[in-house]
Amino acid sequence: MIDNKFKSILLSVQKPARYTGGEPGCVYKDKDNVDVRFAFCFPDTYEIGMSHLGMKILYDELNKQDYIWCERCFAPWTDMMAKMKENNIPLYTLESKTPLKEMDIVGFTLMYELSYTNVLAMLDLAGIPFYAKDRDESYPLIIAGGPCTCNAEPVADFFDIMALGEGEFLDVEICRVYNECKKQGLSKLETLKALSKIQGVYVPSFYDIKYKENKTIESVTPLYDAPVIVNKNIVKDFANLPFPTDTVVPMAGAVHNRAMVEVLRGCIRGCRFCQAGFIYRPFRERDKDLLNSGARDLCKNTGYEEVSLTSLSTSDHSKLEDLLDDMLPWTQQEKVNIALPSLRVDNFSESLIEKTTKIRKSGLTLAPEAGTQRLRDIINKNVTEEEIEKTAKIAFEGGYTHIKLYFMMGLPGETMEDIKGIVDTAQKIIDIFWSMPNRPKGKPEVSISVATFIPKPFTPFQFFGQNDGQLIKEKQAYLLECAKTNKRIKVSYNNPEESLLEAVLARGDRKLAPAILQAYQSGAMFDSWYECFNFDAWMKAFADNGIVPEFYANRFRPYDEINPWDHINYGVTKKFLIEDYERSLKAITSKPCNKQCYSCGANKLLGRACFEYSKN
Amino acid sequence: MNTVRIKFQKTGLSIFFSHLDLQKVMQRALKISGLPVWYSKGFNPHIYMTFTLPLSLGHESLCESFDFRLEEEMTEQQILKAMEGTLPDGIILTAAGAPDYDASQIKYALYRIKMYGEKDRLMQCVSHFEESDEIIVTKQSKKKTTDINIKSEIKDLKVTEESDDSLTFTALFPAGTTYNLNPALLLEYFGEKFGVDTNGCDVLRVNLMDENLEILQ
Ligand code: SF4
Repeated sequence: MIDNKFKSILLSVQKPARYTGGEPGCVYKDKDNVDVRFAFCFPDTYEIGMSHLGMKILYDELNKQDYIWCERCFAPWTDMMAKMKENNIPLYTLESKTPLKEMDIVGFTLMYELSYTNVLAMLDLAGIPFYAKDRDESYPLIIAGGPCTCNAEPVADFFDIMALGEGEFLDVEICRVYNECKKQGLSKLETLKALSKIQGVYVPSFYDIKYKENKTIESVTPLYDAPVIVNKNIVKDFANLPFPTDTVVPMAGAVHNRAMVEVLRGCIRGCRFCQAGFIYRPFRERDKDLLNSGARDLCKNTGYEEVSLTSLSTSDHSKLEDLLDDMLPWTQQEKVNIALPSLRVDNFSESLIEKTTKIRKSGLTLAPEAGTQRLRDIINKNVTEEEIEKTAKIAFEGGYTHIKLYFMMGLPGETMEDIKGIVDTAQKIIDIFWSMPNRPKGKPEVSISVATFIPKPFTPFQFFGQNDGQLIKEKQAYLLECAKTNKRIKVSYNNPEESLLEAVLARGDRKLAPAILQAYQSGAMFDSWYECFNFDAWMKAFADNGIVPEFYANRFRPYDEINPWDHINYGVTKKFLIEDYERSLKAITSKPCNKQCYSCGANKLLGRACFEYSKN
Repeated sequence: MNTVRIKFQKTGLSIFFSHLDLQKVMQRALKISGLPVWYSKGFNPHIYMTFTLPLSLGHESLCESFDFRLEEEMTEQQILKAMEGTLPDGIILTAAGAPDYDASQIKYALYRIKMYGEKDRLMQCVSHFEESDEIIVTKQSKKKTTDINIKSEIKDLKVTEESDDSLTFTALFPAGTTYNLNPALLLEYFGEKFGVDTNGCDVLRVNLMDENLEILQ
């Protein structure tokens, strides 16, 4: 499988184990005994891709089908990419080392916009034409999934289909229909028509988009009977949805190398800046006994020393404390840590912290997101100052000394007062530490990490124009100025250029495709990696293709403008988003879904109410 | 509590794991096996594990081993059975039992090295080695780089196989807990001088020997 020449190449690049496969838990099948060969591509490094729960779930789900063989593929790091090009080695799957070109379906998971150029790099390395229209039946079907597909219009021309929403059953259904078409020898067009009938399948080429002179969208016209609005797919009975209890255990240090169990899907909080909170609606939680037994099996089968209870907001699981009580005996006996990565400030109880600190003590992260109550109300981050202080106190009492706070800047309605509020919040936490008679040994440290706010589709802030780079720089400078006085406060923030690019791609339309391609061809790749980010290549590509970034990023979008994603339905309606945006302008908060339903529309996907309100 | 030594081969795809990766792999394998492995006490309990002699990334070996502790007495068969299916491709367990020698006894390692390329060039490497009084290579340690003469350190270099595009030789290299000579240094030297593709060579550690050149098994 690996000859001398290839071995020599592998030994000349960093971390060769990224490119060899062979980890415990890999699935091998006989290629002659399967009908559909699926390459699951993650357009980032092995370490990042292998930390991604979605990939593990779909790998498991697809390989459960006898007729499908799903294999993995990641973006080779730049050193390996150069070597592969130099030696004419086409991009291959890790399990069988088959060139991607020979697969039936090549699926990319789009987790973040800044991985789009990596998709192009991978197609390029595989010798597959970029544009869907340039690929005939002899090429694999190129499909996309993952959260970005809620508006992947900027890359829509590169994909044959997009799978919207939750992939568990959807991907298998796509393979099933594809297989039938293949057996009947149908053309690519006929196959796409058949696939477009599946709920959650979006065929970009079946939508004709017309633009106005002012560059906004005039109309979106479906062709070939394709649905006018494409609905995302969801798993209705998430409570009883089994999850993989044996997964590939990555070899070369994955970022999150631990067992991961998804305790709930969706989020009840409705933070207005958070795309995940809206596109994963409605809220559904997994049965606690299923979670407990599955987590135990997963740890047993993989040998992991840590199990992470993941979700957007784990402490919102109604039976979380019971679940922890069930898990504590076996995790302690088997020396497994429990990690709760997404605790919320407002229901962070003492007994909860006790349960997790019994096992492990490290830094604690909290996300107040904004520095003043007024701004937190605008963004609907329903966390009060008292709650932050109380949490800090509990954390210090629990022995933590390092607290990390996450904030955003450039939020709607933000003033310089709010920027100062970020530092004030950190300062207060430090003051609390010193005021405690029973404080832990040592000195407190508060790190504040401030991200530039990026308005995203399907959020109430989808209309809002992002702060321009100049304003963000001024705010960052002011933040540093405020924080100068206290050495125990560490400040970090991200690059405004990167945020601008992300904002353009997030709410972009199909006119961006040639610019993205040009950016890639002139060297943009691994854009989310600081050391690779090439802003100049992007700006030149935009300019050469008549793209004005500000049009996409910084402009307020009137409610009646047709957005590039308006023909896609992720559950929440535009009507609801407008109402919620209006509420935010008046600093009126929205209650969590389990307290009050605002009829966002997501329950229609479920076919019933999200919660039984009589019980509350 | 008793110490167990597991012997294994590292071949095929597994040669691309670093020593650090390998430690994690074994740790996890022991955990999955369900064997009554002894954990260190304290706040952060971990499996006590020592590897006899680390192997370089890219090299194969027939004679690797590591020690760990079990809380109960177990037979070789029980241990090997429990470990089945827990390891990545290319790592093959060959024995489990009480440690039979101490790592400090190791003085040499026998390597079998296959070089690829034009026959003449490969032959030149060997004759150059035999004819030279000195083979000076640069050895890098954590802090400094030193020039050393490895000619006198490498013993018994013998060509065992030749073909049109490859040459295989065996040789003894100093090895052990106090001093180690990585055969890659010789191959890099051949690479610089005669254009051998160093990374493309197959390097196999065949066995370990003590100071009297007795094989340690
Ligand atoms: S329908 Fe109501 S309860 Fe369900 S997600 Fe929307 S707002 Fe929340």
